[in-house]
Amino acid sequence: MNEVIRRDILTVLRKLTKILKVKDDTDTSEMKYLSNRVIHNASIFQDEDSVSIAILVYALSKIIDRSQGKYDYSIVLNSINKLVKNLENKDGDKFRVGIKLLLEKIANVDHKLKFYIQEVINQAQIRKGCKICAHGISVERASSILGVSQWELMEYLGQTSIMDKFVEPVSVKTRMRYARKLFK
Amino acid sequence: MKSLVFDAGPIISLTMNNLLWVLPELKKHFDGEFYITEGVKREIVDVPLDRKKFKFEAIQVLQLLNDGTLKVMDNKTIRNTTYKLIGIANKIFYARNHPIKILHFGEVSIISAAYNLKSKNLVLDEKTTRMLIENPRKLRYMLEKTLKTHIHTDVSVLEKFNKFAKGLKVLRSVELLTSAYELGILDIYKKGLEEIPDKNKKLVEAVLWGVKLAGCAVSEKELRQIVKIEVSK
Repeated sequence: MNEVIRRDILTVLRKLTKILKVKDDTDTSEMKYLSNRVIHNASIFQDEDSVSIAILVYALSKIIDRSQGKYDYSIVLNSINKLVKNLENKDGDKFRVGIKLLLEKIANVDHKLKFYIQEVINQAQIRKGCKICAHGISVERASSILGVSQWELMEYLGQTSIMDKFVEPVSVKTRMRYARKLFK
Repeated sequence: MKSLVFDAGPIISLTMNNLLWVLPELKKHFDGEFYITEGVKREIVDVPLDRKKFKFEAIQVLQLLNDGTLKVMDNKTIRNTTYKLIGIANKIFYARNHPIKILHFGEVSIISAAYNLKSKNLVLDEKTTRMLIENPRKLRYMLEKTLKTHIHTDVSVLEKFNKFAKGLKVLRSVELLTSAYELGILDIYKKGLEEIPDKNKKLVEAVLWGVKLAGCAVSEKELRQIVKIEVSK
């Protein structure tokens, strides 16, 4: 694992454990902020580890949101501490196995929530893909990094204001002038 | 013969709006061929055909391939150019001493196809690829702003990319639909709008917002500009 990524993920996971130690109203918004922070690395390095952590933290924040304060943080806290240890020991393989087990643990916590959690993880992939596009990575590239289809990503991108943020290099008048030359 | 090379995005945004039928009609006014590449076909047909979601949309695109409206452009030369070009495009910008992989196979394949066809015309809804072709400096600015870090451009690599992309003109699905409107292809929708005031404005707005909401990279300001131009005619 790249040293910059390792250190960044460690910082994020340490902050996450701090959030999860004491329940607070701002927990989920802080977690979403953390997830976006990891996505910066995911855009630059496009590594599996940053992507999985971003999805994990975001999905966890949504599940806690939905539980309306009833989610037992201790279910995940121990596993997150283990992830921190794996990274401190620079054991990338154990870290990746740990993420997989943690995601399974989250999904199996309540059978009633099983389908909801699968949907949350899928939504997390699409949302994070969208964030990567907002960072200037192409739609197809982002969909490939997150493992979602371009159809899903475009459908979601269209509902955001990402396309309004930067001025187009060519004016609509120029494009239309060219289109009229092509279609007669 | 003229040719127009399509990326996956415009086909996706037209399909999501039930507007794929516009392509054969537009082709009648084009005097040339509409192409997609094998990489684009994989994204819009092959992959969704193997999944539950968007399978029916993929079947609709397949119809256009079967009736010859869209042709698949694929050969060894295009594949080789694509591999070469993807290596170039993804080593133009660097953040934290690391090359940023900004494009993927399908998007690069349309540039290689245009290069090999000696075509100047692309249809591309996606913003990053378009900015790299039209104004890489702006793309660098966008990367720097959003990633909040210094972005280094390898100018010699950018020059190599420009050899392939020089002179390319890019249209989006919004321009295709505006042309369709101007050519009267969308007039069939006017019949249902007889009683409604500003029917022309409503129609243009409807189709353009449709593709924007399906992911075409066009700003609200640009949409308003197009509507204003079309309605004032």
